[in-house]
Amino acid sequence: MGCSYCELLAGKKGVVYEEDGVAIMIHRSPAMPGHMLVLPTEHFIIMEQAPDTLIRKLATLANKVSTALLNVLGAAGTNIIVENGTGADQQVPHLAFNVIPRVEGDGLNFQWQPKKLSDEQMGLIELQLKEQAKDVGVVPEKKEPVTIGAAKPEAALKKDSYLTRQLRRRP
Amino acid sequence: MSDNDESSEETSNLSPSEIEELQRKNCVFCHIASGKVPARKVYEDDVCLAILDINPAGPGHVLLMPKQHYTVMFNVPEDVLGHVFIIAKALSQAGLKALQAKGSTIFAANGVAAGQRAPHFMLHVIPRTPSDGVGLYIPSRALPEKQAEQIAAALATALGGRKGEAPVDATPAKQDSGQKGETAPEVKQDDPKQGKTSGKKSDAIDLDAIASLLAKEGK
Repeated sequence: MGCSYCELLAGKKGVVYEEDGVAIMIHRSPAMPGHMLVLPTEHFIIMEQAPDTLIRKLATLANKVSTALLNVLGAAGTNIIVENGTGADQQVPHLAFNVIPRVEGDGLNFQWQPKKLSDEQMGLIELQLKEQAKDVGVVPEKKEPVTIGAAKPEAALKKDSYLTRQLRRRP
Repeated sequence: MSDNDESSEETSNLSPSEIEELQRKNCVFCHIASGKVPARKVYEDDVCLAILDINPAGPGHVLLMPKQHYTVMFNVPEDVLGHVFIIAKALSQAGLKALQAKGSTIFAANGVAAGQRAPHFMLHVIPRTPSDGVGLYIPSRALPEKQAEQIAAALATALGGRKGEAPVDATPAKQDSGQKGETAPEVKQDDPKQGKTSGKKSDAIDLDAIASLLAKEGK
């Protein structure tokens, strides 16, 4: 299989903790020594594919290992970074929360250059995002009647072919 | 007489709980959550709030935070943190749809050393496209096998020793009940006393120090 994280997980190599479908693994080419990966043992590529219960577990473990890094390595802080998709520079196609220990003057810099956006742009983005996010909490309640929709196309096709045949016959 | 002696002193003389009370009062994100300060809100529920960052890394850069004031992520109760990350996933998806993004970066900085600026825990959700110039990437360096093993062993011990009984788990009940309850000092006081079991040596974590650093920054 092509996924290096799946292989490492299967070999238990560098896995420091595992429970209930989630694992903590040491990063082999880290941003800093102690850079850890919190990841599902099942192969999900991006966050959007993972069920909420799994996201919750990943978040809990990320916080747990984050706290442990302060204690064990004497880190002064941590960064949590999820690279979600190739647009976000995701290198390995397996969802992972990066937990990176930080100390003052460690040479790492995750600061971005702020972009200047006009009021109109910001207003438009606000509306677009709000529109997309408005049914976030509602999603589980209304289930799309998928089965009915799925049963129909066949009939529609038949009807279509019948109609087109009729059309072809006409002239 | 004793009253006016003790009140109105500098931050250095305040207890961690008093510092946090002060932070809460001065916290712009708490004011945004309560509606005192305006912001472009894109999502809101009982637990958390998402607003557009006024200095965005790119279009659609969202700040997602619990409404309740938690200085750093370490203080955030498990259920709240889980909820915030679930909403982060949803907002990431919203960004993909609304802005035709090709991915998203979820980012959190815990502590000044990690680049945290405001003393209110938040996640950044940044919609991304391959050449967007955000420049946020994780560098990599070589890690000698031996060092990797040492770190892994130490962490395995630390994590294994506290299975199901992590201090982060112990905080939510207290946090939820009392508005002004502060986690950091409680975690600190509780743990050393409990620290009699084998794997518990790692509980000497100084959350107060991390929080008070932020207090200075935030001022």
